[in-house]
Amino acid sequence: MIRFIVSRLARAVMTIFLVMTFSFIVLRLSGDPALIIMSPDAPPEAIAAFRKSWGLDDPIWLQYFHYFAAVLEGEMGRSMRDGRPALQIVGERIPTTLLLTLPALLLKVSIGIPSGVYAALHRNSRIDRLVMSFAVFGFTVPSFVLALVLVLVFSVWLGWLPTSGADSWRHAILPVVTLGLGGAAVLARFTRSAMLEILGQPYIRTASAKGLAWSAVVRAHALPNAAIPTITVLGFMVGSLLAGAVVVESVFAWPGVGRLLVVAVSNRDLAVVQVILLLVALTMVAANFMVDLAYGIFDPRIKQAAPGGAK
Amino acid sequence: MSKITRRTAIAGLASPFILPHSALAQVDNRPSIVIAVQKVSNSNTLDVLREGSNVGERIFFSSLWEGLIGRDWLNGLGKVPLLATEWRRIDDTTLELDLRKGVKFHNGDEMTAEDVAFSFGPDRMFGDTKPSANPKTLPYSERIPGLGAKEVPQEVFGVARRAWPNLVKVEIVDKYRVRFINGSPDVTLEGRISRYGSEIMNRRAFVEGGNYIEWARKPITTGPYKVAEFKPDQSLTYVAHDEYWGGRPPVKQIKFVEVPEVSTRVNGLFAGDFHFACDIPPDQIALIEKNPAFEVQGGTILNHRIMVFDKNYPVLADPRVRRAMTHSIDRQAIVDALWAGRTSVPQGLQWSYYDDMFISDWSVPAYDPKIAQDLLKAAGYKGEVIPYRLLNNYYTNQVQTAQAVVEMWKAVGLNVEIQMQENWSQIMERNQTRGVRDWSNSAPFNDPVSSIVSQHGPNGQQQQIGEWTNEEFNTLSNTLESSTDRAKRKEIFRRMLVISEREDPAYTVLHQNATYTAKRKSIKWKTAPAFAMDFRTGNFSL
Amino acid sequence: MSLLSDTNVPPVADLRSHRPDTIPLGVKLGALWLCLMLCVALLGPSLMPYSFTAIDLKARLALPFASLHWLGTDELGRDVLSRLIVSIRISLLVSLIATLISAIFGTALGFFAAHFRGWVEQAVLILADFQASIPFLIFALAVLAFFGNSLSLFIMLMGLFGWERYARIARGLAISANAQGYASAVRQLGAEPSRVYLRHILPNTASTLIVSMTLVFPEIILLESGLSFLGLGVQPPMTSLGNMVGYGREYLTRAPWILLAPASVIVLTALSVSMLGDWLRDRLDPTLK
Repeated sequence: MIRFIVSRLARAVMTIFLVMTFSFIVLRLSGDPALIIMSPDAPPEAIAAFRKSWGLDDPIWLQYFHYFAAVLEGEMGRSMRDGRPALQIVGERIPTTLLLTLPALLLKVSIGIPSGVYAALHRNSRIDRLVMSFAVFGFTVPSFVLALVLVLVFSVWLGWLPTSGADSWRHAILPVVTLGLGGAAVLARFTRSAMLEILGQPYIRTASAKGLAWSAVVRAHALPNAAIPTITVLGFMVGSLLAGAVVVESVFAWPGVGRLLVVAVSNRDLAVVQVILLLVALTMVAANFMVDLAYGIFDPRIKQAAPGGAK
Repeated sequence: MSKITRRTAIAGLASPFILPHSALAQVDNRPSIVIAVQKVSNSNTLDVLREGSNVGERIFFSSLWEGLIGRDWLNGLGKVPLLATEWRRIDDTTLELDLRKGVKFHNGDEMTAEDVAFSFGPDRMFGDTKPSANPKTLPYSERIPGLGAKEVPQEVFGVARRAWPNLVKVEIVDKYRVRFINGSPDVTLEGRISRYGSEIMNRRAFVEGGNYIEWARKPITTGPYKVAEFKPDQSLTYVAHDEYWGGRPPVKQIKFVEVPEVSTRVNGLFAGDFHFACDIPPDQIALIEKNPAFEVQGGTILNHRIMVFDKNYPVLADPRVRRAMTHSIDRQAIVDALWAGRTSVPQGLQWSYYDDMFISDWSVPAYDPKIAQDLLKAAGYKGEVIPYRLLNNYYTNQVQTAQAVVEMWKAVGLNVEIQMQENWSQIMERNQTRGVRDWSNSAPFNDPVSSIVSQHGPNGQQQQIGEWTNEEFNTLSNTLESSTDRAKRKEIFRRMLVISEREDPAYTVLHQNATYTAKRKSIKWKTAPAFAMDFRTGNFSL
Repeated sequence: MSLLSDTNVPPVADLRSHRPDTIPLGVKLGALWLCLMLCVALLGPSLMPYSFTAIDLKARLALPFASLHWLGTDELGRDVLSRLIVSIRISLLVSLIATLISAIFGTALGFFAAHFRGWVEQAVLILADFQASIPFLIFALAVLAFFGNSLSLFIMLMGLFGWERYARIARGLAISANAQGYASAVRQLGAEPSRVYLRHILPNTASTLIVSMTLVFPEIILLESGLSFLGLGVQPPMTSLGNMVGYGREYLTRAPWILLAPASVIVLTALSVSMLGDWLRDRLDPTLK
């Protein structure tokens, strides 16, 4: 187990290093921040001054070196737009984003998993088909279309909820629902197929044949085993808590990390993008790590396939 | 976080709940309004020399920043006295201005010549840059010591020097009188004083305040509204500056909120979340006005959408091919269809507010496919590809316009290929595939020097990135800048238009840009032909 | 990492074997719809009533059936039906090729990892972690900003979407197959490793991979529309379903057909692929038989 954790940690560090290198190279080479931030109409002298003061004239390898040297000292850089520390800018947005993504995650889980389990237990019934049709529908409608329709109905026609902004809990309802419905659909599909797979296993039949009540079999054997693939999807959802709402935040003008990411990328505001990617990668890696640990708990056989495991 | 609480508390001072404690206060029943915009500030600062964009114009004028000479926003954009009451020429290089007395800054200080001189001084505006005609640095003694910590971004000095290439200094005559001294004769000094970027700020707040960023997010100026709270990329809240020299402002609080999606801005207006929704695409106008409670006010702005040619691209080297391109665009059809007829095709790269410099008998190349085809035949054009670098709706309707124009070009036999790009460095990149691209040109003050010379002249962007040059044009450009003979200047300008729009096209004007603002009909308010929004007394009531 | 669990479950016959061999109506309809889409994609140009780029500024935003345009016109007066046909063609092309690229690339890497183990496996896993931990938006922007946004490049880019899932699945499947009798038996008979993987392990894992492909396919269509929303999708003058939805969203209230036509094609196609996928999964997946 310790070997597993150590090798997993080493992989996590490598992943994060790759993410940072990748984003550095890409953002630095894919467009001059000076032209973008200063606007293309800015006088050439001003653009030259901007480039000089942000060290954009240095060769890229030197910039890269400076960047990593600073990061190792805990200095995450400053926004090229207004000079504030990038960490502070991103930090201000994290609670706002979590106000959306955490309730949405709750909604996904509380709708997606029960309906998936129910559909699987009543396979090929009318309800199964209904749930699955909704699930496919919820998952195939682009989220911005769903968002626009919800706003038209609940804000413009009925006048019940505000259209955009983040001033109160009422502002959060529509974006949370938009995020939650799409995610619930994905989760329902996954839970259903995971359940079906387990229900088809011989040991379930054996348990059932031994005279155990069906509900007890489901509770004791099917659910824990079906939890494994579902946890994988959940892990991905937890990992995208920070930047998984880019489109929805844009439609609802919700000032979260996703919006910030879009703005920062289009401005090539390197330090801000770096901090966001770093945090996103950290959450994702941590979520994956926990998923792996959960695998170990739920299913000892997985160690076969785990790196460093028995060969 | 504590900062925000403090700010909120300040904003709350105007709220009715605490009014009973103040014996002097009348009940403040002025309205508070919310304005939805696509972008509050590109640079996340409120400094006129850092945020020089259209969206900046909207939040700054006429609410926050004021200059010595202002613009008549609602009546033709001419020059009007603002913080200066009168001005006179001493000679070709010197202008003297009398300052308005009793102007109070947001911090209660009275505006004096000190503030004006400081606003145009090296610590704020020019840094170590030198006037181009008089390359001599200011003596160090004239600079305020200890200001290095302010760390004004270097690019601010670059922007300022471009606006004032030859300003030597602003001299204090007495408390209420200053002199602008230029290094060379310049008939456009008054225009430059009225331009975006030449506004006045409080010296004490700049010198005593925190670092540059703190100042630039809450500048102390003379405008009718002052900054209460600024959340970058989210919202900007102004509250009334009740000691404003022009009288008590009619709105208690103005909040600009950033809403990037068009549909969300329109829906929010309908749902009552916003009083105004800005940056409305022309195609939404009919939809909004179907609802009798709302209206859309539109204004052409001092900015023309143009297309720019790279005459080094082999196919475009022959001016006849470029001329054919300018003659095969049905500009009026674009204006009618994509702009709901609510903007116009201008008379070339000039604006009527140029007054006596406006060439009223000039026009864009006529739409005439026959002429275009003849020119192409004469040039021996055989359908070679002409690349057209395009950004995804940086300008309103940009992609739609481009697709329409490409089809018009196709109709006369021009094979123009759209190449979508990500950003401006890719658009401008100097290589074998640069043919045509989009751009827009503004006129920051009412003289062609501010547009055709500044954008297409020898120091303008088009020549700096090596797309186009023309010897005669460049000579004329220099003369236009330094000449004081108005009649001769006008003839020079005419000749420059002939060269750059007809004989050897550098660009071609498509249409005047416009911006549309939707609002509740019950609000009495008039839009300016600009991005600026005027909320001073006389232009707002419920 | 999804579906990893199936991999370790040995194929066992399902006792409930008396499933009727009739194909459910939904699957039939789905298959019919997909055939229709394929025909549209193949015959595309000959079905189009107008050129998809031909503008008519005087007939903008025309209602469906109101004029000679069955599905109305868009903001430049272009025929929505013709654009829809081209869009179906492009979107199917993008998603099909991208799904294949992603499946082949991912599976190959997964097999490599399973075969070599050691540092090769670690490298593949790190790459997979990297891909999973960076938002695809950034990734897309990166590639497009570097190389420009041509259609072929866009397809390659979309081909990178989801490869890490195949890699993980394939690795898991191959490891457990290696541990099972048949693979080692074949190997002991002296077969080349490539032969073992291609002829013996791949067919045994194909069903799981095919099912994953039916999951990824609609995701790619959706991803393309999400990228179009951010202005990074298939670029004008070319068009795609996502591109039409993205540009049509501003006209949702004024000319809803611009958005509804491509959006319903997206939903129906994704629905059909998913139903077909679920059915295939039930039929093919060894763990469910």
